[in-house]
Amino acid sequence: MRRWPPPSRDGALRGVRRTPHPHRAGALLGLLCVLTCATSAYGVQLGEKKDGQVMSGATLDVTQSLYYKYNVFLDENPSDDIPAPFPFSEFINRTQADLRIGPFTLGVQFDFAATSPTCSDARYAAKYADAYGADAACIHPNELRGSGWAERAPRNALAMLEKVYLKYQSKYFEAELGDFYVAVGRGVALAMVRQPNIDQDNSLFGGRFNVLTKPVDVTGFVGFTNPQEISMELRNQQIDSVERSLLAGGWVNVRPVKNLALSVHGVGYDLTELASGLVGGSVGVRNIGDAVDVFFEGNTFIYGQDPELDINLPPTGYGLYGTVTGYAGPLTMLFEFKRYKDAQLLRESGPVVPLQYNQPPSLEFEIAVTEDVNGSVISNDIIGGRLQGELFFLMTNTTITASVLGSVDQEAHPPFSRQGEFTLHPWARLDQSIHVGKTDLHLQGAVGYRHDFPFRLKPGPNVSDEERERLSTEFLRNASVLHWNIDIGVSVGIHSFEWVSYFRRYAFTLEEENCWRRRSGDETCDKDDGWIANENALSYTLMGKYTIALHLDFTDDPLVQSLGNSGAVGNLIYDPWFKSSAFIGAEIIAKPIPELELYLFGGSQKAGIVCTGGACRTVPAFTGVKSRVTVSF
Amino acid sequence: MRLIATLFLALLVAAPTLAVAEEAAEGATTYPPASDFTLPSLAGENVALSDSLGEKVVVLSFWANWCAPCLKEMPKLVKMQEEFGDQVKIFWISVDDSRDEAKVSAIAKRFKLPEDQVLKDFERKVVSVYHKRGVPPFTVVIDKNSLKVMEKLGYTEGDEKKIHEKVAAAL
Repeated sequence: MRRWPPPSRDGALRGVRRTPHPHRAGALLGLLCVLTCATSAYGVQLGEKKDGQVMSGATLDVTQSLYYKYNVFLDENPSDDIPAPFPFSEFINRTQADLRIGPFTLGVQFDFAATSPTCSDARYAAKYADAYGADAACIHPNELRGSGWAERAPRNALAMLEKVYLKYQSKYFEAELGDFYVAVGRGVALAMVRQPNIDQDNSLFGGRFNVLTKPVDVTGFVGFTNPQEISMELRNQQIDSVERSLLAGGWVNVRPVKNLALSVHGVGYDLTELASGLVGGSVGVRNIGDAVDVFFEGNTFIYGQDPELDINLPPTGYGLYGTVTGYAGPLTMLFEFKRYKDAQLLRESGPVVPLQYNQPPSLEFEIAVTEDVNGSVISNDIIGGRLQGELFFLMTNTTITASVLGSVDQEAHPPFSRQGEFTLHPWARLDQSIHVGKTDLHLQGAVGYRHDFPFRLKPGPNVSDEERERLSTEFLRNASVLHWNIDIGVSVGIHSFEWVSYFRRYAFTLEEENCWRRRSGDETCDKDDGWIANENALSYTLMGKYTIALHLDFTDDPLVQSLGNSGAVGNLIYDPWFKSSAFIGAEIIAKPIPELELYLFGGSQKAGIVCTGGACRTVPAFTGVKSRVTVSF
Repeated sequence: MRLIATLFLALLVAAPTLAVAEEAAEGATTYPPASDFTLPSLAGENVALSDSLGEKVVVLSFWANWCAPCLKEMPKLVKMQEEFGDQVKIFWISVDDSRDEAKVSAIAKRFKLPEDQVLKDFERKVVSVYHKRGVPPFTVVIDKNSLKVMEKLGYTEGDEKKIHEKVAAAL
């Protein structure tokens, strides 16, 4: 028997795929045609730049994005009596507008989301009753609530003014009121920025100012966290009210002499129930002997304490990060070092949502053994370093890169590591461009191997006998991943072809033999297990404007973030019973004019970074049909 | 499948029409003005776009260390900068996370980018003004009248020729 916990009911979805309903497809086609035909807008110049006029030199930028998604679910187990969740449609509209008048910018982002069907739809209610019995209370396939809605949104539609801001900008002074982003240092202390590729957006709502002079910068900010509630990319599943927390802080950067930068910063916050804070600073020296750059940042975290509350926070923590970069001719060397000990802003039980508050450097060039960024990146007790060498020959357009990482992580990150581990990760890459006549060839290939040598954690005095027993039976002897990727692009005149492929082979050895059933149904007992993941994208681009791409992915990875519509990148669900799945999807991207982009995807899509049409983005898992029309004017 | 085939057909039919619309529109378009900004450079100092506008043609190249097309485009733009010299100023604006500054710096060294022309938009305040979706690579050409005469999302081999043409025409 495999030993990890069973999957949650809503997470493990596999088996037979359902196809979209044709009548919905017709609606989508109609929508696309209407929007495509209606897009002839161009730049809006609200007035000539003349002194003394109210709207002098004003511009209005509007970006309108429409998304239609038809979500199709997979049957978790076709042989049982439980039907697959019913398919549903999502319609999302985002309007972003910036009005700029001289140094002032007034901006808004307005989102609208709606899903169908709902229980008020008689046909859906009847279908639900057929499947679950006439006495069963009808449940919406996708429920929207959102901030300000105590109950489900009426008609399952939600309109949100997500962002609003007023900015003043001059060469030496900037001020912002409303929503703004903030990143302190190298992200160890605080990083609240928009992640456009996964449409994760957690801003602060309040005020901020920046004073920008040659020798000194000063920044101060205060505001409440304001996470964006409606997502274009991720599934809007059961949007719920959000809690807002107060943050305040600032920094001073000083450049006393050329090539020397000093910085101090501080942040106070109430992300947990207890007010906490951090202070830190950095020093950077550039071009030492015209050959070396050095940077170091240190942070001390002070966590609020209240013995009456059941929050087990350490009193303090710290995060240290440093780099040394050396360069000589075609060679660039980079050494990174980190030590994080209880250096998280948000310390709570359960998974921490990544990319929300702080994003310290991970050292990893590739996301490796686990894509669980909660664990491998933001460990609470890790020390490590990475050395990278890079040779670049401009004449031949050749880049050879190699790196090796070593780290000791004392924190368990289930399900992949339930104990501390020592990690080694060598990695190498070749990047080559060749130009012959009208033909351009670009080749990039990389290969790496990471091995984790686990070691037992010392159970403290508070560990129960049951926990000691669990730790002893869930010990991994070692874990590894072999990974490679290749990217071949050929361009002949107006025609471009590209093949991008990623492969990862995960393997681990257990301390004790375990038994489980193979796909064939036979029972097997051994110490070894593993899985592979392979992603391929083949694309053709005409004139840099029209792209057709075919995606072929395969995985037997039990982390089912890659299955169905069950979640987002970073929102992982482990399914020990998952066997394998292939994903086939096709997409069309058309950018006939800069102001317009049409996008259509159909099929099944594995989560991960996808590069097609010359642009990269991280996509969530999805099965179904989705289209997007983005209009800027 | 019938749906996808139908949509594909619709796009193929619509594409030439839209392309013609673009050509027709080019002659009549009033180019929008570029927004000013101040960002820190890898060299450490704050750089204001307005310091370069007016006298030079400016190219903004938004990129990230994980973006393979961006790294393909980078040496092409370096050559362009060398070819045009002082007449043109290219800013390579990194939209990475602040935690990746060491990687940004190493890439800048690799391609020998001038440090004062590599700008750090780690809070994405500039890219969000120039392109709401903010996905690199994204290239903007600004003429001497401070107007955005070209905005291009994505990079495929050969795109640098289009950028080159726009820059040369703007000189």
